[in-house]
Amino acid sequence: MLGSEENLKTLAQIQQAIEVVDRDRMREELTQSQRELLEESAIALRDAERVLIQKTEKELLKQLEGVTERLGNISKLIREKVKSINNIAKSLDSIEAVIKQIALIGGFASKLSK
Amino acid sequence: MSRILGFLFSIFLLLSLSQGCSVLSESQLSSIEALTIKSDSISSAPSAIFKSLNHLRYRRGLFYAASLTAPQNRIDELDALAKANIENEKRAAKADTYVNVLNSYIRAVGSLASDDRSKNIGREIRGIGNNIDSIIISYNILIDDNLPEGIAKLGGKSLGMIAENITKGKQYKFLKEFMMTGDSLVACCCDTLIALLRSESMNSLIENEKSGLENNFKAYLTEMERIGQVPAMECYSEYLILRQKSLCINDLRNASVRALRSFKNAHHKIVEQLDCKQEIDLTEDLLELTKLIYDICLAVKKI
Repeated sequence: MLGSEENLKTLAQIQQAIEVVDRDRMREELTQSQRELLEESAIALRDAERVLIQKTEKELLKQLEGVTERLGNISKLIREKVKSINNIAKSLDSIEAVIKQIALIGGFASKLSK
Repeated sequence: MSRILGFLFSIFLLLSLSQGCSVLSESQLSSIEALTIKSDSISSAPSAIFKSLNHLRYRRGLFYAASLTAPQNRIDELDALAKANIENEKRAAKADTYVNVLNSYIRAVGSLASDDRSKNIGREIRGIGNNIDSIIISYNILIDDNLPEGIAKLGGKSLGMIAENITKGKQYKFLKEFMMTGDSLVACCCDTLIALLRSESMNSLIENEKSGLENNFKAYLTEMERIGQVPAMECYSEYLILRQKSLCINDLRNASVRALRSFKNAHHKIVEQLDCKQEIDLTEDLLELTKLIYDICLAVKKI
């Protein structure tokens, strides 16, 4: 199973706990200090929620890490092959450029000799 | 001169025959090209889900901070929200990196299969032949000699065709080799992504955002009511937008799962085609993939 079952259960419990604390801290009869104390509890629960979400997402992404690494290696090999094929064309391009220059000089020289 | 021509023709015939039976066909090329174009949208979907979940988490957190009465508590909640948001964005970017590997592989395959690879080499060699012919013409004028003209041009043409054919053969060989090795990994990658998207953990994360949004907005509204303030209309429209986004995440998840499955099958069929040297009709598979990608694009726009 992806992710820990316990984490997911705890995440749902934290959500419920936040709901309960929220209901309590909104009660009219509370004093401001009581309300602030309950708010602090709510913030602590929200922190716990964030930690669990982070943990769950990290676990999910870890599953991808191993698989994508191997595929990434193949991509690198393919690019190297593409590069080697392109190098042939590049070398031929340089040879063509040199011969072109010689042909130009030859053409110019033949025109002069006429 | 006839000997030279005969020799060149023999080489051309031999090399063409040796490579001609194993080059990429037009339909294979277009299938690979179609798959390359489509991989972008498929691979962007899983990270779009992570980004959307992060966005929802951040926005609902603002509602929650506004529901707190003590300034210090508000600051604490906002600080925690900012810190978590930075971490979440990093993770979403990481998801992008992982998923982009699939994309990068397909792009590399597309680049290797490209027709330009062989055509460039052929063009360069034809150019060399033409230029050598020009030198011979100039030489004949300069020295007043009678070297045969046109052979280099013809040779360049023939060699260009041979080189194109050899390169196509090499492309076919490399593609077959890499795509056959990559097939099981693409399948594994797609299966892992599908398992991730359909996992209980992903389900839990999506459900947590849906209920979290509702609860946090409820806390905000209750607090507003308690202190006798009327929430601004913008808050309601913000809630509506976020609510719609949270409901659309499931659509994107389902569309991604279907597209990944279809993508895996299309890749496998291309490999089969390369392996058997038989023409397998991929039109239906690619059309289905296009439709699924359209669904993904629609869902991404909504979240």
